[in-house]
Amino acid sequence: MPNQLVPNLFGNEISSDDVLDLFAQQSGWEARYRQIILLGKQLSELPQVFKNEEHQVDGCESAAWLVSREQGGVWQFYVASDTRIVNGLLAIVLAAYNGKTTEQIDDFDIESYFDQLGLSKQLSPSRANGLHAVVQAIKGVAV
Amino acid sequence: MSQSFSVSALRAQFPVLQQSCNGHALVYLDSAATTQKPQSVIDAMSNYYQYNNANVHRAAHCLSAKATQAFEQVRDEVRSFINAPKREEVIWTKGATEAINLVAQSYGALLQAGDEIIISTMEHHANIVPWQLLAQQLKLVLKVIPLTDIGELDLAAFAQLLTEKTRLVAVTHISNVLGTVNPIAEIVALSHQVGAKVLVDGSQAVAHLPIDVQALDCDFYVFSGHKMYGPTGIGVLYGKADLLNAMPVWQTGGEMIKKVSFSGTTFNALPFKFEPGTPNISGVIGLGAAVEFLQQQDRAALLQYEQQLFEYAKTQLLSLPDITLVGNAVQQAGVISFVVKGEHHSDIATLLDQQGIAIRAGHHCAMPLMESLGLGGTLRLSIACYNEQQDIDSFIIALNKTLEFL
Repeated sequence: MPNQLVPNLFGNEISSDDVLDLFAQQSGWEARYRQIILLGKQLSELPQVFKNEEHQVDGCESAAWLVSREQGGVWQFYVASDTRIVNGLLAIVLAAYNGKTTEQIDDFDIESYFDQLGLSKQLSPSRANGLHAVVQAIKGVAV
Repeated sequence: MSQSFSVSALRAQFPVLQQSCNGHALVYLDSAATTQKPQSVIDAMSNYYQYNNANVHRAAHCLSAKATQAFEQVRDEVRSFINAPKREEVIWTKGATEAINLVAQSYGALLQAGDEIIISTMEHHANIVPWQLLAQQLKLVLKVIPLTDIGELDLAAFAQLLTEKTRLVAVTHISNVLGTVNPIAEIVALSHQVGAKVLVDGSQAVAHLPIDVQALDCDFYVFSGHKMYGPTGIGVLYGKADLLNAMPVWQTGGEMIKKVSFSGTTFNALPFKFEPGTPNISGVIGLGAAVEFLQQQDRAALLQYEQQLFEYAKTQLLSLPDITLVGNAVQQAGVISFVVKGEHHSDIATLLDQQGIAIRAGHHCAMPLMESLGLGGTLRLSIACYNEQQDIDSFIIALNKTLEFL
């Protein structure tokens, strides 16, 4: 089924606490970014059919796509970007938001989470990678 | 590399460059986006607010006279800087973007359906969208000069696009993506043969090339202060006086009027006709200091130094595997674009940033150019007078590390 959305490990098998633990062991930008890229590789592939304007979230430097589904009161998000680092950052975001209720998504302090990961700059609204826009879009859909 | 002046002395004038970023000494190679400011520019603006702040052209009091004199003196300096014949041909704007919009709306009001405007494939969005909107409003025809394989304007194709209906040709002096230096004088001569006016976007040129609007014979020349070591929020529209006089007012308000009554308003003469409201006085003062900074340099030696650095950077880049330069025009200045095979520009830029290297990744506000090149974006490093060989070496080391990392 090439057009089927495959649930992500992130948020379902790998929690935000797991991600925090993982990053607590990494020191220096190289180790952190190697980890980010490894996480990005574990994202479920987003079927091509969803990579359209409807699902596109714009960054200045790169494009990202977000598909949102709610089932049984919890959300599942499916994402893709054309860059390795943004994919990794998206995986980190999904670890916090997937399998959660609207209320849990609302309550989660994403800024503090990224701050603890040493990645707060990546989430800033001025950043051209579109991550901030994805987080806003997730918060916007889960209301 | 031979140096005919002291880059370290020059560099010491730029306080921003003395800091570190992400734990590394800052390597600033994004001057095409905005240049850093020398201490003299910062001081001039701060002194203005400390000692001379008053509104210009208004009051009889001594402070206003001082402010007005300093303000108008910069107009003379800019006139001389671009070799404009008359001081009233120098109009203050917010930047190059506003200057182009001014011409589009004001000169545009003289155009009618069926008239033609020519731009080029390598234009920045600021020199595309105002013309596109104007063309939609007035049913004008917008034509686009194609590029050759090496990223130069296709002048043979351009000559074919020119007709007796061409009213304006709007082209950039230097491409902000390809670094191509366009043959403006030749473009102007060709355009004038059919009676078309020429607007030149000098944003990427002013920091590098000496500008002589009389030698170029262009009808309009626009640039931003912040790309030539000056402050943000101030720019220049140069226009030939006859043309500016024939053009209707654009934005209206105080300063630009001669007499206002409820039965009608008469407008002020040039340059004030196009400068409504209280101007960006501190910006003008800062721009004046930036012009003085550039005038104090040996411009020929400066350009030669920058070109040597440019060639050095190109050679170093080409020595790395999987790098393709984007744009190989015979005459280039300021910016070098490149792509890395199999890698996204955003990943490269993010990892370079981790190593303290500031370069730009993306479409550089030139999406039609990217489309024509079949690229989603490029990496762009840009060079200014304060850069040194060490900056290029640090960049290359960091890029090497990044390529190994990915």
